[in-house]
Amino acid sequence: MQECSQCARKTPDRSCVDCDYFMSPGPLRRKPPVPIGISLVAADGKRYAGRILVLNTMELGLETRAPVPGQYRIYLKQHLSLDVAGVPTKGKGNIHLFDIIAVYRGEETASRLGNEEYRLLTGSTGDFIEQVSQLVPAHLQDLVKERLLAELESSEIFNAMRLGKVMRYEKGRFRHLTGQADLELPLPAIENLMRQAIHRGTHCREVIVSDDGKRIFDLHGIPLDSRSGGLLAFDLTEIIEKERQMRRQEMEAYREAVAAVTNGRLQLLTSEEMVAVLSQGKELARGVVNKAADIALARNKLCSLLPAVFSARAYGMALSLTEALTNTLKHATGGEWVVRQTDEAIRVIIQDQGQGIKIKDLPKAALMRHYSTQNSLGCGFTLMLYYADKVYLTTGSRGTTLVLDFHQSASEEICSPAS
Amino acid sequence: MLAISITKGDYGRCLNLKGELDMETLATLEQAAEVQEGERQLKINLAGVSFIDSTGLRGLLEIQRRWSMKGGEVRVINPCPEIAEVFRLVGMEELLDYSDQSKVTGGEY
Repeated sequence: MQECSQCARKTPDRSCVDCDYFMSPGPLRRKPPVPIGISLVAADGKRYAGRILVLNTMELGLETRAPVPGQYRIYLKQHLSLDVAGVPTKGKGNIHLFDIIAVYRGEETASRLGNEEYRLLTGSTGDFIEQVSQLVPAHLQDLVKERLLAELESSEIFNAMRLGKVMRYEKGRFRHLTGQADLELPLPAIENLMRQAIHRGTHCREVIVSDDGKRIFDLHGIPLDSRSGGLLAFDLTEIIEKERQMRRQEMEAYREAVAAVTNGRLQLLTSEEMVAVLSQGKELARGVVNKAADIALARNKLCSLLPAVFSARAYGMALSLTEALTNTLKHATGGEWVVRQTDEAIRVIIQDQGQGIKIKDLPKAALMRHYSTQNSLGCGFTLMLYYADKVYLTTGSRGTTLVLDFHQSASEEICSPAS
Repeated sequence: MLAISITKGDYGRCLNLKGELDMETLATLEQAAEVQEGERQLKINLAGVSFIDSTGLRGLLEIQRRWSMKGGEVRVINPCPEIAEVFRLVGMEELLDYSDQSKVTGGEY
């Protein structure tokens, strides 16, 4: 604990900012591109000027004349302030290490800097905002900065990205350096990773699931020398959950867009919702398509079993089935078809195990009347939407299920009779 | 299945199709519709065709593109009403030629 006082005597010019005794050299230690000017406010209201020279999420290295030991509040910006306490054993001259005791963000309180605050202070995001802002006229720059910062503050992914834990591994033992001390990592897995990283002499990464199956960790092993290394662990559980949530929201947005442009004729369903649709009514026929010739067999079968009231719609039904089955041959290795009869409709179901349809292309395909070769969905989809009364679609990386309903009641003549 | 018989006229050839035009049978048509030296026009008679899908339509567009590159043209004649409707839906009605009044023999659909 005497390093700093010795250093002050022997090498007074040595910089504290890069010193590993001053602030531990974990990957989170960063210097802002330029020192950040701040004020430290003591409990009695007395103010001291200061500059942030170096920081991690739990400590600040400050240049200040504020007395140490001592506890101060630092107002970084609106809705963000810190309580810090000077560490008397670390630093020399006007340079002191301060522990972050509390972080106040609006109503919230935390014990360390959040990821976005950290990035803001360490410059990467700040730089970016600075660069972007320079592209706009001077009088708008402040406004743009304000907007971008506000967006960053509300970024949910950033919030979900809770910082992890940094540990040092030496001679088979782990020592907690910084970050979430309560992050419980499975010992065999992290030991294995560290041994591997040290043995190979290179950074190793592994994503593991906790023993109880509830949390997902992203582990990075970094070798330092032949016996020791650093372990950086991130808890990905909340990020992954956030991503799922965003996918659901995206799906919901497309579902509405697609329903709107098709007047409700095309409905995107989740796989759970699709299950009910697939089992309604009674089955009339089914088949498999592996090659082009199978498609003609399928549509001929469909036409042969249609009740007489559907005869005016036979062409559109045969065409829709053909288009769907052609897609299964083009975009997957073929598929299955089923024809069912429900109370009010003939239901044609087509399923494949391909890579799925890009949902973002659907509103376009639904709106487009004339076809272009650029449109990967082709006009097949447009035709199906024209001829079918209702189309249900579930699509994803595990395949596509398309359901085409043809109503008996809507049997107005599709084509005018030959004159 | 698709069968093609050929009638020759002053303008060039007329391909009389019988059957269905889709992914399976398109190659048969493409082979028969190759541009030949000295021909100005190709007629494709759909009187015996009961079914065309988007793959078949795309094939017809491609045949027309190849002919027009050589200064020729393609006319599609005698579609049944259902097929004419599909041409209209995908914006290909300009390929259809109603001036040719050969007998219309619709398909079974």
